[in-house]
Amino acid sequence: MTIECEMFMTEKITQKVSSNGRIVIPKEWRDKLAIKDKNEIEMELKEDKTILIKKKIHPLEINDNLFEGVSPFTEDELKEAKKSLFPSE
Amino acid sequence: MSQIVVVDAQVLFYFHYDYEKIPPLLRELKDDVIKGDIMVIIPTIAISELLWKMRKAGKINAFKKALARWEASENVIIDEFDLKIIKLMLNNTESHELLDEIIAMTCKKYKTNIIFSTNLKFREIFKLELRSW
Repeated sequence: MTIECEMFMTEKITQKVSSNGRIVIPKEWRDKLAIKDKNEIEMELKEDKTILIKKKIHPLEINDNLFEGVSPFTEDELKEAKKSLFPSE
Repeated sequence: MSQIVVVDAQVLFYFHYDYEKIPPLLRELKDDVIKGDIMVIIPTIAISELLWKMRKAGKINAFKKALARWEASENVIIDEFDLKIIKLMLNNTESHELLDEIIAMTCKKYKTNIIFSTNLKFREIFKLELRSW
C-alpha cells in the first residue's frame, strides 16, 4: 500500500524592515496562499515574540455549500414568498 | 471607490450554494465582493424571502450561519427598510408590487442603478440596470 501525502515544509527568509516598518511577503508565498492585491491579512503578536501573519478570510470565501440539498428559487416559489409577505396584493 | 449594487433573494441563495453550480455572473459578483471591487447591498426584505424558503426546507441553522456571514462580511451592507425608502416610494405615482418597489427604492437610496436579479420588472418598471443570469 502506498500512502501519498503532501508535505508542507517550513520556509524561512530574512528581510530588512523599511524605515516605516514595511516588509514584503514574497510573491511565491503570496501565490501559494492566493493573497491578491487589496486582500487583507491578520497579524498576531505572540508571547514568544513571534509575529503570525494570516490571510484574512472573507466569510463569502467559505465554499461549504451551506444550502446543500435545496434547489434555487423557482418562479412559483418567488410568487408564493411575495404573497406570504403581502397577502392582499 | 467600489461599485455599489443591490441583490435580491435569489442572489443571496447562490452566495452559499455549491460553487460549481453558481451562475458565472454571480460567481464573478461574489469574487468581486471578496476582493472589495463591489459593495453589495442586501435589502432586509430579500433576507425575509430567503428565510421563508429555508424555513420550508428545514434549513434554519444553515440560514442562521449565512446571516452571520453577511453581517460579518466586509463590502456587504444589510439595509434596513426605513423611512428613507418610504419617502422614495412617494415619488412613484403608480402602485407596484411592494416587494419589488422596496428593493428598487433600495437602489435609489444607495444611488445605484444596478440590481442583480432575474426579475424583469426592475428594468421594465423601475428602469434599473438589470444584471441577470
